[in-house]
Amino acid sequence: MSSTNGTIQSAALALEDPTLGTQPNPLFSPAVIADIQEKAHLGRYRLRGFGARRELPSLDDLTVIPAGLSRMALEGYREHCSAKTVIGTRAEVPLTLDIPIGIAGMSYGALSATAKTALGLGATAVGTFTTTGDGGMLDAEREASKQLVYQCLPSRYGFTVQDLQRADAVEIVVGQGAKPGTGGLLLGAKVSGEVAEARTLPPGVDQRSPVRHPDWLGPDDLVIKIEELREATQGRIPIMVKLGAARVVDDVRLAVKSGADAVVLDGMEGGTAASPEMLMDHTGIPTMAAVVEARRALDSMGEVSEGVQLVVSGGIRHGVDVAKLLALGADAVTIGTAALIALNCNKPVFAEDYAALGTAPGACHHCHTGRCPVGVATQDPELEGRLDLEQAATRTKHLLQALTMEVQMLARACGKSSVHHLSPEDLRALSPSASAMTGIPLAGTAIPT
Amino acid sequence: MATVTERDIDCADLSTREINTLLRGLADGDQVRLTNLDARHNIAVGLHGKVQITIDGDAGYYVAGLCDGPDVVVTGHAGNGAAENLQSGSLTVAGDVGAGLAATMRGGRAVVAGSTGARAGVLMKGGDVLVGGSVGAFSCFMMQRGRMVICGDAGEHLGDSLYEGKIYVGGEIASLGADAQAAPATAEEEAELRAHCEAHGITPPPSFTAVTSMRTLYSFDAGAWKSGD
Repeated sequence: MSSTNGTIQSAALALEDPTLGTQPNPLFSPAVIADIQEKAHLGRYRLRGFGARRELPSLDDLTVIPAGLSRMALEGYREHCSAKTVIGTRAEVPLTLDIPIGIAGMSYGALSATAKTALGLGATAVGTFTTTGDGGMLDAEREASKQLVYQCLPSRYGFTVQDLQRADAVEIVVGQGAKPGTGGLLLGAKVSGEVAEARTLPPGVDQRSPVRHPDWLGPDDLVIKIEELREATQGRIPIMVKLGAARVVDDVRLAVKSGADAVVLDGMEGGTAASPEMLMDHTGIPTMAAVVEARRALDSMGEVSEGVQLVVSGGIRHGVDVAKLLALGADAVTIGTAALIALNCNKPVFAEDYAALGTAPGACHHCHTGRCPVGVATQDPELEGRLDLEQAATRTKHLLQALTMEVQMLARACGKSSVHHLSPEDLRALSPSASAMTGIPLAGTAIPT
Repeated sequence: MATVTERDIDCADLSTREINTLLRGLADGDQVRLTNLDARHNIAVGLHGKVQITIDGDAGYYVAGLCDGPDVVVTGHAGNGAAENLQSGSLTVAGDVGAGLAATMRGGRAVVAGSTGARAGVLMKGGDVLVGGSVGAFSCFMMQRGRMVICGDAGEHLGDSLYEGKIYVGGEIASLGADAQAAPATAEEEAELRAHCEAHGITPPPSFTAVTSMRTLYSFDAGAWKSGD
């Protein structure tokens, strides 16, 4: 029998494709195997920060088509090209910005106080706004920010009438792109004494924010909630509604019908300091698709959406992304992850501290641990001390300035005297899927008429 | 034209903004009575002053919401979100209240002689709520701090996922939420609660059950997970 078995075994081995011997299974890849084994160890879903890591249809699948003979370009760096942007034009005092880029909502708690303050200083230096987050408003952040958007989140952590009345706009957060349909997370390592006090929580608790607002449960109620906020602020400032990009057309229309002065739409590439991993990669829709749906939704509403601005965020990396989003219908954009990278996120310094987290500069997504080596996403005083406030503010300012210059450069190349004159006609798609998603013609398909 | 007397404001011809602007202009210690409101929403919101406001009749959503200081009395019923995010001061309602009473309340006091709908005391961060009647489902959901005293019954999932704070129930509890536990109130608590009810003109029940957090959801350990119903 043994010789028979040995013969059979040898024959089976001989039939095997020798090239498969060391090739990973494409379905159960090494990453999938590691994920399954980690969950078998933890007994729960995995958490991490930063944002989606899978490849998604992106703005890279579009290209800008500058002027030639059919239109004249403007002189780069010299001719006037306005970047002035106004959000919330229906309010008595709208947000009036020198650039079309703001800083997205990120919480004190997820970020250090130094990081929040630096973002405010940098934004102010270039005439734009920053936004609070799921941890209330810091005094230092308020003082640093000439224009500060105050988020009204389901948790209402640190939410006070005093801060509401010193805000320059309110953003009612219904969802965020990284994890639409779920609430926030802040793991115990970041719930320091100060953060716990600001959020009225026990220190060190793994904090879960609710996803539903406590005092309104649907768009009918939201109408009244928005009016309450208007009453408390005497109708002075814009009231915006932030959505995670998912059921975009219906959600945008409901936000506008509820009375929002602006809609903030966050695509699935949007960042987060902590989330169940599966949500970031497998929920929501990409920013490129979301902006198109949102613009169509607004334009379908006629007079109802007149004066309602569309602010878009989610994975914006450079001025080209900004220009493409403006061309697709955004009135303004916000950046989050890119702003943190400007602060020093993933910078190749303190390499041993990245290694201790099991990662390396350029690949770190460990915001959830509270051990941010560069002092951005931490509450550890020693780590936070590594972030120099003035230098961080300057880098924020420089990034916003550089992005705006890139947008203006592209707008001028397209013959536009304002970045807001960019339109779908200035784009071509480089892939059939991008063309199908956006309605932008596929490059190479133009036919003379 | 609206008729404004020393202490009465006839709201029949005033917009909500005009009413709130008038209230915002009151000096500490002022007392006013609002009449002919017809249960309008968003009355007495965003106020800081130590003023006393009586609403003659019913109030709509968010009465005394986003306030830090005023004492507001509603002689009728009140809508959803009454005393929402109240920081200090008080709301007293003679009748019933809709859903979300004292949602995210941070301080001060809310007293409801009647009953409330679902989600009373949701996300409370402080303060003191007294309900003479019963409360609906999911009351005190994710409560963080403060006290809720319910003289009647509590609906399903009471105190679901609460962090801290204390809930007292005089009647039946339909069901407890995740991570909530119930135990008889101590003799000391009973005495204090009886005095508390009587001080606000509410007849106390014979005894109270105390509901607190088991704190098993304080961390993401898998041990606290349940598949649910």
